[in-house]
Amino acid sequence: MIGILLVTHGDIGKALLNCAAHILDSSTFSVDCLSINSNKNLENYSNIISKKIKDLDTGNGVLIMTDIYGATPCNLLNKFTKENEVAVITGVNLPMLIKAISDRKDNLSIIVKDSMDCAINNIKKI
Amino acid sequence: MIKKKIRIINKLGLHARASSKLTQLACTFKSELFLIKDKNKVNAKSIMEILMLAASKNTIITLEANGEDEKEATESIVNLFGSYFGEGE
Repeated sequence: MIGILLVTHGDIGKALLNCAAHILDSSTFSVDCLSINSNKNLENYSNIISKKIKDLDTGNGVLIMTDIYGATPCNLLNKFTKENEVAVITGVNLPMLIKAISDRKDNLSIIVKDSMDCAINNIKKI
Repeated sequence: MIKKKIRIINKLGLHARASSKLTQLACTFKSELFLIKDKNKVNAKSIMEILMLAASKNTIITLEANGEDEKEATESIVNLFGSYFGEGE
């Protein structure tokens, strides 16, 4: 099972996680989040992210979701994309998170693709 | 293979938590399970696929079950719809 980490502006990640747990009616074991405040020491955040990745990784890798591409939370994650068992995707939304949690027994690269597809497919004009 | 038409009777239709309950139930069976609405056929074991049906109250969908426990799966899923997904209305 992969670990999932949400690194977002403010409490977006926490709110998404609460909603996903409510909908799936399941534990969010192996899912964690981190709120980024750009006024704080960014190097501390890198250390926190590094520790969270280690804690979440049970041997199958960690999927990190962030919100805005190019924003501070995203930029903080750049250096972690070089790690083998870490994948970072942007534009997190609730469908993306639910898909990833539902499928977290799959292979990391498959979850990355399916979660991104799901996020995009859920953006519709109705 | 079994095909069964089901009318959605609960007030909120196949919303997120109802879809989650359906997925959890479907995953307990070995059979392939699909839901069909109009031309859309989705895997009943995937919550996000079920939600793409956007099926509201009074919609009629078709359950398609294919596998060794298809009869039990069909009965259980029909019962779940019939129980209003435990929502009381």
